[in-house]
Amino acid sequence: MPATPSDEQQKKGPLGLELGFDLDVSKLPTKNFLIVSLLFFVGLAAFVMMVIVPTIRGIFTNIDAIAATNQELATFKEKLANLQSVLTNSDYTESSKLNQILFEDNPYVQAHYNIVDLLDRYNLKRTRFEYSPGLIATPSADFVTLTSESAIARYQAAEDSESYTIYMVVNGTFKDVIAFVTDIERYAPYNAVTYVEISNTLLGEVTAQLEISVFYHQTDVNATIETDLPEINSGAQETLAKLDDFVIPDFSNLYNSDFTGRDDIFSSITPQEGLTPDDQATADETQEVISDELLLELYNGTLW
Amino acid sequence: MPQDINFLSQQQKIAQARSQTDRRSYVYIAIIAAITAVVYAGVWLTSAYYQKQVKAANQQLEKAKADLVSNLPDANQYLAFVDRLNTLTDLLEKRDNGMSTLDTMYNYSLTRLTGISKLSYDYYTRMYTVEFLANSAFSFAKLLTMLQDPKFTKPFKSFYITSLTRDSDGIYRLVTEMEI
Repeated sequence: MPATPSDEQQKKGPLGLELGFDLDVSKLPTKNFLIVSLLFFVGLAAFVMMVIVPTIRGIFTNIDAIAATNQELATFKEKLANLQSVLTNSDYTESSKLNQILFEDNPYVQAHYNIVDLLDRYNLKRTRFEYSPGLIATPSADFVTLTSESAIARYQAAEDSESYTIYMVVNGTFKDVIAFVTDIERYAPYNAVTYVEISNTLLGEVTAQLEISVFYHQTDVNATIETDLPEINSGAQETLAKLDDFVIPDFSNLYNSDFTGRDDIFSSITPQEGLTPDDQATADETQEVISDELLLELYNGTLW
Repeated sequence: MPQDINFLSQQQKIAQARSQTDRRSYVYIAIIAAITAVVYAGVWLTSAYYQKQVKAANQQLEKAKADLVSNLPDANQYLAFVDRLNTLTDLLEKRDNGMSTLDTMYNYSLTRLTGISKLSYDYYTRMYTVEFLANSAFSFAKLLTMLQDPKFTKPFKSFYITSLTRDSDGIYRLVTEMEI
């Protein structure tokens, strides 16, 4: 059947070009529609790219943020629970005893009291007493023959911990000297007999040159929310078990006259009537100066 | 003329058909727009939900931080306790059994015929220097037996005899160095 003119027309495009297929012009959209739909899809693409995709990205970012926050929250809660746990732990209840053994400040008066008390108890006679606030350039070099190895170790020890050294020469029986040096280490504040040199006079008495270091420790800690609470290791557990072995004297009345056998010369001082505030301040200042001198005297052991 | 009329009629039909195609396509576009709007609404609501969750989590975190900060003084005390405890542990390890060994050595070695004439102990090198005395060959033999007794040597890491002398009056002097 020969092709009709309309069929011929359909095979050509609007410009009369050969398309090679049947084109139904009636099914083609209009130019306006094409422009509108083009604008729509461009707008849609822009909306998806600029609004929807960033919003979806924001959702994932939020999910990650929630996970990170929850993790951090769990860490904080765990830390808080750990802190509550360690504060109620039986180990921590020993802290007051620990503070009574290893002092925070230099315990020279307490150490002096123990030493004098024990020397008297064991009938040891003091023939020389020296005090040194540190281990560097020690006066003990006068009478102690130290090896270079010992000197180096002393220097390192001075860097590692704070201590206060007492040197003394005492006379007594060998047995009493041994009893003294073994006993003094059991007493708080914590101390160590760092040098002993006992010479037998063969007359029933010995002369002992002793060096006792009294240790103290000033803690310098500053906890932050990031700080992890340390665990008490096995060595420290053993130390806690040894705390009961220490003798902790009652030093609460150490500065009272009944305890020291000395009267407080300031206890009888009463402010004079009619003093101006400036006069009173001067009087207080004077009292403070004298108090320091008294302390210095205590430090030097001349009051004992 | 009838041909022209027929052509115009044909063109009108084509225009109507294309207009109908346009309307149908607009409906599709409207459906796509509606789907996009629904999707966006869903995305927006999800985003809003998670933003609320983030805010709630942050509030909880701030509260936990505040709780922790309020407990920092207690944490400081605990840290100070552990620091002090560790220091005491180190000090105890260094001190170890220096003086108790001295006590044991003194009690163990002192007999009627032997004794210690000079003794020194250095905490920092953990060394003992001891001068033993024995007033006869017999007691010196007893002293040597004692020095080799595991009960006596147990606390020491090393044990050296530095010198041995015999005086004209028959007293043996044995100088030893021991490290604990």
